[in-house]
Amino acid sequence: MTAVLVGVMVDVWQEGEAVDIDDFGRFEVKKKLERVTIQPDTRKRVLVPPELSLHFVPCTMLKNRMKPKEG
Amino acid sequence: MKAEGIEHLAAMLEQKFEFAEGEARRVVETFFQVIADNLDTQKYVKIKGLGVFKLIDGEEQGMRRIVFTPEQMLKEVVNKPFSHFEPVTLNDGVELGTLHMEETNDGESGAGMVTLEEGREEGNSLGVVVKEGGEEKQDEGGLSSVQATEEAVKNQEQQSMRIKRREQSLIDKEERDGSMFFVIIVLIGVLAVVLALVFLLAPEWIEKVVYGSVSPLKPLE
Repeated sequence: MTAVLVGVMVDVWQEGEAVDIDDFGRFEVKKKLERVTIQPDTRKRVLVPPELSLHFVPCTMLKNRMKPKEG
Repeated sequence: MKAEGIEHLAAMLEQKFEFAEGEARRVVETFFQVIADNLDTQKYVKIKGLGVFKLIDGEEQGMRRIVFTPEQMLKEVVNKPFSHFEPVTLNDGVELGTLHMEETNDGESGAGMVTLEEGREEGNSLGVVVKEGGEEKQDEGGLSSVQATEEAVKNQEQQSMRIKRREQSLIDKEERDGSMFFVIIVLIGVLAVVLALVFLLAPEWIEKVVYGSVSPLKPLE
């Protein structure tokens, strides 16, 4: 059952859309731009390709709930 | 960016299972409720096929971050439209100066600008998402086939395609330089072989060419 639910969410992400859950948070697909980096060891420049990655942004309520309890 | 809520997930579940009215919605809500509950008590929740939720204590007291790390397989699935890209090592001769200029002149808010960074710092990510049609688009070499819903999405795709093409041309140039060198080497080799053969097989002919019709090496008659 959970596997199917996760599968449904994956379908949404594959469309490039976000999954927004009330009182939990938001799963977003973000695009990381391509960039040039320099490998520290070889000093070679490497063109790193663009990338789509999944991010989770917890909602304020969840953040507050996870705060360490007082005392 | 478009976002789907609990309603969509519940509707999709209803298509796959037989649920009573409102049951699917409760399943979805419970699913995330359970994650939140366990995160609160265990500080670590792992969902198969999805990933790991972790609580990480910050340096300051009372600061606590919620970190989600998607599973490797899920990462790959999400990144599928760009999976054909691979990191390219740039040779010393290749200049990116032209790349910079053309990108900024496009007037597309410099979104595709190539940034030169020290080390492996994270690049700034833009909240724009590219639809999965990217691959097909590239195969057909045209833009007409896919109807991008958002202008921004379109721009992003065009930009990445253009950068890819430019990358390709840079690589092509290197390859062309390499093949020219190779051709010259081969020509020199062939010339050397021909000369050696002539020396071996027709020494008289060389004498004739060098000294004229009368060779000083031959006794005069």
